[in-house]
Amino acid sequence: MPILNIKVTNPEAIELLRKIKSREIFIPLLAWLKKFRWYLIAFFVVAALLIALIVGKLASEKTPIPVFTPPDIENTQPTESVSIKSDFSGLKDEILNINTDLPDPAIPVFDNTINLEETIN
Amino acid sequence: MKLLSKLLLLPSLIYLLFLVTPGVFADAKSDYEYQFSQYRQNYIEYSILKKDFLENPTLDNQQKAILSAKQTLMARDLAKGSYASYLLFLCQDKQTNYTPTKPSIEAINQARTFYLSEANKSQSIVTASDLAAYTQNYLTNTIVHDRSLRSGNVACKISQLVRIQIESKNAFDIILPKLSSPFSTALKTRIDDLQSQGNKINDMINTFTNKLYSEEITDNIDNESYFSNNSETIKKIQNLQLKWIDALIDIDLNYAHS
Repeated sequence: MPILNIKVTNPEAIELLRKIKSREIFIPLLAWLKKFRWYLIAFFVVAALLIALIVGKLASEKTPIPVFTPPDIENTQPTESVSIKSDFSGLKDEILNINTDLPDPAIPVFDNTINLEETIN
Repeated sequence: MKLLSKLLLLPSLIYLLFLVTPGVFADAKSDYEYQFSQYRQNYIEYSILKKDFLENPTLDNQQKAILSAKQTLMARDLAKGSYASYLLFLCQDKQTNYTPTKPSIEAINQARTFYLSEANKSQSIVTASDLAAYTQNYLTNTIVHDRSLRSGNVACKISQLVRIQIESKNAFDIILPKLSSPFSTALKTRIDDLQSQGNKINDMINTFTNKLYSEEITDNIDNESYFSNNSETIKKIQNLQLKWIDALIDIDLNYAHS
């Protein structure tokens, strides 16, 4: 298989290749990374947390939520109060219903002096 | 055909029976209410015509006023009579056969007869002087009957209290055989108390009723305090009756039901 022999003649490309070979091109990048390293670290930490949250959420959605039911408590029956009513309660009501006010029924007012004479007030 | 008419007659009779029995009370009361409304209506008319006559004393105005006065007199005495009937019904409805109130009931009856006879008598009035004479006479004669309505009103209330005493005695007689004998000391004390309290209430009612006919009370009959004083005594008796029935119910629940 013939080896492809490419000859670079472009001076800019030659310059670029030289910089790559001598790693000179990476110097500004390393300097930038060094300058903003704490921001990068913080970014990665936040990103890791967000990824963890998303993964956790997806995992929890796939797992059914366990239903917790309280243990059975023995049913308490309300105490039945047997109310004994006397046969004479009706008589008591009868007494209570007596209207003690007098006159009952009210006596209406009548004019006993019906005549055609002038009334002197 | 005869069978059909009998079949139709039977439900009609049953219906009439139901209609008439509670209607007695409604009749006495509603009759009085109707008669009193008639009196009020007539009285307004009479007052206007009398005023017209006094302002303008013509023969025509006099005749109109006399006619209206006659109608009012009739309506007044019919209203008084129906009030007496209503009162009588209320007294007799209790079926107490209580002797001390009998004079009061008799007096109400006499008052009713008097009012109904006066209602007729007033219709013979022709002239203004007849009217004046009639009213003068009426004023003298009606006092005793008007007072009968006042004392009768108290007598009817006494009938209610006596009815309660009769029913209380019946209740006591019912409960006594239900109690297991021999009685415990506590129960015996309670029964004795109940009997003595019952007798005390009976005595109180008797004294109260007899006092109604005393001179001291009859002299006071036209005063405002007549009803308030009697009402106080009735309230006291009612309270004693309540205490008595509470004691009986207590015995019933604690001794007769166990």
